[in-house]
Amino acid sequence: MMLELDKLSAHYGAVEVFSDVSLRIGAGEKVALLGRNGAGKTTLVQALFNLGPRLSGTIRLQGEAVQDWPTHRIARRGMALVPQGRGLFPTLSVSENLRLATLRQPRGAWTLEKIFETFPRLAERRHASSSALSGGERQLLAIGRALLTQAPLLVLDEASEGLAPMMAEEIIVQHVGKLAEAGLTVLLAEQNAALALRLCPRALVLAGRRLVFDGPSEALLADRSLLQEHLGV
Amino acid sequence: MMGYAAIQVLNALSFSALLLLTGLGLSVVLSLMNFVNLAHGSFYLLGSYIAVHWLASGAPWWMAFPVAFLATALAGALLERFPLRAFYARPHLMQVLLTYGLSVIFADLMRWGFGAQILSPELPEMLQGVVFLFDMPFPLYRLFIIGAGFAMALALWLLFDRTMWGAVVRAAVSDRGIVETLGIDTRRLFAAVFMLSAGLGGLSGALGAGMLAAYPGLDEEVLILALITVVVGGLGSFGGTVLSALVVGFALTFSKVWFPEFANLAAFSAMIALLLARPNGLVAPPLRQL
Repeated sequence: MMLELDKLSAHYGAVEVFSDVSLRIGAGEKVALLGRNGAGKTTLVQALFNLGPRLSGTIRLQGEAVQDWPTHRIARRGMALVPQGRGLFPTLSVSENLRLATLRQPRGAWTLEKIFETFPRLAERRHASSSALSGGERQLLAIGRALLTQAPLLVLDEASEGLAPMMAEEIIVQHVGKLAEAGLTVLLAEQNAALALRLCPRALVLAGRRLVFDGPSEALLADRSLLQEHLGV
Repeated sequence: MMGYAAIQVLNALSFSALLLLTGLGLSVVLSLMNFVNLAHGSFYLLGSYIAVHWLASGAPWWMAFPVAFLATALAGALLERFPLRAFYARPHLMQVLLTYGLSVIFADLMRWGFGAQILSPELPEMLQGVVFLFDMPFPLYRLFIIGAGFAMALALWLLFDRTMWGAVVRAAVSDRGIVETLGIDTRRLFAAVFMLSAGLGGLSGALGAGMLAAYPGLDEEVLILALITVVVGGLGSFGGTVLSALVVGFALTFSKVWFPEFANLAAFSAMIALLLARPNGLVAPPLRQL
């Protein structure tokens, strides 16, 4: 099992963000995490990396309980993040942003050159400051950086946010799709349900602080009332 | 007249070089770790005392500077482990109380260990004496401070701007959490940066001993000037700290020349005016505001 959450709950002070979230994601799966704005998707993603509020429950990453580990150890265990807002370092160049991911991680299939081959647009701009990139290029850089950690599990948080529809489609369905075909496990926390479900055959829906749906995307798409009530689609 | 002005410019430059090294140490801890270290002046004074004793010992004189750097860096490393690390996430006021308290303890310890008199180092022969500029004498040692201080600042700039280690530090300034998701242990990074900061304080003290001597109370004097340098420059901006070290160095030196009775009043009023005009400092940092 790549990732297992068991009765995971998160609180900011007395405010409960979500509770009793249990799920399992197998190696090579593509899973969409859906929910309205403010449903707790980002908090759940942060919780996976121990970057958010205090937690109770267990998070197992490749069999190891990691919920109390510092973030860098969780990352080394095999989970990479493409954060909301991209989380690029504006005072660093494109290639410095990428090389940062290679410093403390084991060598693996991904190299700087392979990233530039996969995303040629980044190669052209390797010496530019990351703040000079276009929205699409920034997202590719964030993905490239996450890949360079060699982690088998890629978590993307609001990857389509701020992108033109065509660009979001290209990045999520084509690029991430290709990576998943090559064996990467993908957890896609996404506001744009229609887009996420085109990539992911399995969906999770977070609503009212609970996981209200966990099943095949087709079943979710067939359930009009659930879509309407929790996703507003 | 020409010669007198040139001498004062060099005096200001040597003072600025000291402020720059001390200020950079303080600045990097403040901007990276969001930590206010009011014990930074203690590192400076410790470095001065180490240099005075080293230069009197007969050991190779030039080693006084690396020794002062390493010894204060080591002191910084111990202090970082306990108790400073536990205060990184605390509000600034708590950090201020803790580090001010520590600086008082260190002042007492140093007075007990090194005495209360003013100690001037015995300068090595090759740095003694004066050079003549426009027929005016200028101490050779101050030229050494200018050269060593600005060379060290250049080395630091290269470290932060041109190395991968520097890139990690710059990345952690903008988002520590994301740096962690790349597998990098930022707690160790912070400890290393704090050691560097303490070492820089000690190194500037060792360099400065030949100009300002070493005595109880100098730690607080240096601290306030370093704080002003950092704040006037704009937090977290390397270029801003260089610029403001020059501004503060020249302001204090020339106000002593022009208004000797009101030197501090003139210099500090100029700084208050500057901060009112540019609240974010001379060079506003491109990233987060502290």
